[in-house]
Amino acid sequence: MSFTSWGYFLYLFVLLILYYVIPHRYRWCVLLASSLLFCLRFNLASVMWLIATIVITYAAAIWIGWLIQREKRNAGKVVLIISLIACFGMLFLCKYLNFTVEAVSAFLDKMGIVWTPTMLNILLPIGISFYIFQETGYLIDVYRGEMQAIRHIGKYALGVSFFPKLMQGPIEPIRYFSPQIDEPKEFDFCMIRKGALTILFGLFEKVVIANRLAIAVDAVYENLGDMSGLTVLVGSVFYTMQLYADFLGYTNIALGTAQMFGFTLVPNFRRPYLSQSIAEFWRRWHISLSDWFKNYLYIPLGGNRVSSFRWAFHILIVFMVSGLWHGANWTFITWGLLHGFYQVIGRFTQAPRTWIRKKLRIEGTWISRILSIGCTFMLVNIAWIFFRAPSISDAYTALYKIGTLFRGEWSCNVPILGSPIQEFYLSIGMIVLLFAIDILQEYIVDMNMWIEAQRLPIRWVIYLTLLLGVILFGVYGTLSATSFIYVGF
Amino acid sequence: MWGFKMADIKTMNREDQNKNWLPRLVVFTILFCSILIALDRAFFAADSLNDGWEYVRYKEEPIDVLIVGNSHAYRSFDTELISEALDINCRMLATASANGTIMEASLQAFLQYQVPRIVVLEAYAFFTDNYETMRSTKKGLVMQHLDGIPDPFLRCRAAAQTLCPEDIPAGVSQLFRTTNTWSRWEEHKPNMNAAFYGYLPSRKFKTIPGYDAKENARFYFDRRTEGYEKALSPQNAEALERIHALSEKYGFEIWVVLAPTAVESSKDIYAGGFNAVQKKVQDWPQLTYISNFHELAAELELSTYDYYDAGHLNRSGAEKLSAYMISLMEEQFSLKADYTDIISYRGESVEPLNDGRYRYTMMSYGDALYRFTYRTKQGETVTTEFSPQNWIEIAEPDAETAVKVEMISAGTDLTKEIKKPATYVFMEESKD
Repeated sequence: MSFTSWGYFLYLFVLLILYYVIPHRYRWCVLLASSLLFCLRFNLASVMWLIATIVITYAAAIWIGWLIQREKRNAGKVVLIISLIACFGMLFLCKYLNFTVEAVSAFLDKMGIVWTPTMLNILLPIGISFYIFQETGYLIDVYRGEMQAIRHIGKYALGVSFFPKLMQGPIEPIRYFSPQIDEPKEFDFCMIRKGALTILFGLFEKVVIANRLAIAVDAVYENLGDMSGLTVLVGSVFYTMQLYADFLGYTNIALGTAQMFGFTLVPNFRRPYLSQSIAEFWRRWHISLSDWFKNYLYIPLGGNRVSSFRWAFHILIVFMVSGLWHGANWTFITWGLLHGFYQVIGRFTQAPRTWIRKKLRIEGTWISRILSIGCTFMLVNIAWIFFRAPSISDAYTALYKIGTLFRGEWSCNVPILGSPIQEFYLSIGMIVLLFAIDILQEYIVDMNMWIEAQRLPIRWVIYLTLLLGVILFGVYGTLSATSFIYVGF
Repeated sequence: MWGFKMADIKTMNREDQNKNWLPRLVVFTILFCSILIALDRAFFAADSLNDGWEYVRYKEEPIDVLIVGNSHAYRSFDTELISEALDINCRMLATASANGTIMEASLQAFLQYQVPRIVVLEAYAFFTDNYETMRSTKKGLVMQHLDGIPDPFLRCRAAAQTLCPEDIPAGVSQLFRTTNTWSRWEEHKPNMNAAFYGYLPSRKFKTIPGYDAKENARFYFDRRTEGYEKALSPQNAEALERIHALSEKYGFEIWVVLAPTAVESSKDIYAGGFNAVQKKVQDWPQLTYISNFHELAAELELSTYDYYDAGHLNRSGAEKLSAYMISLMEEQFSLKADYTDIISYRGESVEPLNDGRYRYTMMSYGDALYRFTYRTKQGETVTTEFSPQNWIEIAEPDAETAVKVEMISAGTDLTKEIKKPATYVFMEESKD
């Protein structure tokens, strides 16, 4: 059931009535049942995988907690490691086994050894990358003593499987979510309305902006060889914005839905394309994933309290794993490593860059800020080419095509972007709008708060504009352009 | 600057809001619906299906080509354009959600009044109605459309499933459409095939003599799903046989075609199903041609915006496909055009030449005579005619603005002018 389907909103409506009608102490049952039903709408296997991981991590956490209470830390560590291996093993089996076997086979082939392995045909369970990370984070938190193991299996299962965050996050730490289950929640129309507005923003970002850009992006990346350099550049910028609008849209729908039930989920984005460095970009982009890697991988490796070269090595490891998390493909690994290199180079060139800015007397000025934002955007944009391209060679083709711009080849055939010319202009307009809202939110005012402070007629005009915008200018359907990108991860 | 101060931002009076939320919600909903309905009328091009079932009384002119199928046939071919282009009578006989049985029944009813020269069978209806593999919404539609379902529970289920489509609508008139592919940016186009009755919802089929609704319902509900050729059920195979018998009895030619779809996941079904139909009909003496237009989507230059929804073409797509079909009819069936219309036109481009002139290129499928009007730098309006074949290139010195290009005649007899010349205006931005 897609977040942009009629079925979802009907489901949400019925669920909200049921949720607020029944007594508080049974509400977790409604949410858990609805979450499992939501998962079942995809396939039964996804539910089975979800339940299996819940049972394993629930039991492991109680065991670890029990051992830690009795100060048997080493035994706790062993249980933790075994349960982490079980969790990541399941993720590996579903997501990475075929990729690994293919890579080994290709390597052996180059060595002159012929091996034709049988591939497993396992359907990737919906949201597995997201909930495995939540569960492993929870196990580590229990081991570290940052939270008690949850005794109530139903409430723990709800913490893992809560349907708004099931498909593609946010990767909500269980320690933040589970206390909210027991908090009494009264029907509050203002809260429902706030949630609905957040959903509306999300829908606008997804169906009006992301889906529209996707048509042009698909047209470019499916025919890279036939595209001019400028067309590929336009396509790559469109993808950079599409990905943001797509994921931000999903996150807003998830956050708004949770808000309607009285839950607060961690935000995933904080205007990432206004970052002034790659390090800052990762503090603003997919925040819940970045936090997971920071807390459970980067810091345990030693963080930045090590030598520069060791730090650089750690950063490359973290970003390579981050790339691999997105999918079993060399393009994602390359994308992750590229971001790692950006960070390493950024740190090693920090002193000369500051020196240059001071010499030019732009240090701390808005010129320096704009230049930094522009450079960061450009670097991120280049990295997204690897993220989107079907293969490494396609990514090189795209970069080569963009490189032809330096030879003065500036032709751009807009009609081949797969849409009428009006759609192209509308796409440009939407990108400007997205940036304008981000700038407004970053430097001037929080949009939600501003809307809340307005009188009723102004608020209604805003709601109607958003609703009609979604309906009239939305791009809908069952084509590939309309599915959420991160669902595939 | 923004009309407010940060200090003014405060949370609303929650108690007050919570007291009045229901009446406010009702008023807001009414306001929203009113604006949406008004906007929908102005904003969306009319591109909807028409219900009509008057064809059984159709006795006017002899019919040359009859296109039989379901919504895929109805959406893919514009009988008006085909008729005008070839100066023939081409009619549509399509039924919503029809399978082979319904197609055969409707054709049989039609043949009581008219015998066309060629019957075009759109093959999709013969292999897609595997009820077990349908989406629930489609199941609902099928059940709703079928007469003879005795169980009220099934009818309720059908209604519930129909009310829960998977996708968000694009406007009121788009409520049950499934993709973005409608002609929002195109100029208004009248409903396709509006003048020719022949598209009807299958729930009205009890009016056809000899049609057994209960038997057809059994086709959906009781059929086995194993042991048959891929996607061609025994019922559909039998319907094909009966159509074959009709062709021998009445002496009409058969042309089996497959209309394009945008659904990637259906490609296997399309290939398998069409192969099964092809295998079944290939030895029929009355079969003239088999054309898989689905495979020609790229050649026809069908883009995302040529589809009405995931499975059907829209007006623009139907124009492209109909134009192609006209060329095939001219070649294969010796159906010659006396004049043609917009359908012969496929594309245009304007290229600036080195010496300041422009080259205007148009593409048509057959012989065509164009009238090209442009303004010179002196402000005069000049009209010139040209009659090349297919790709047409003209370079006019001093041409500053192409005012319009009209196709004034087309076909074998270029002296006969089109009744209503089609006008094309080149895209302004292309000249920059």
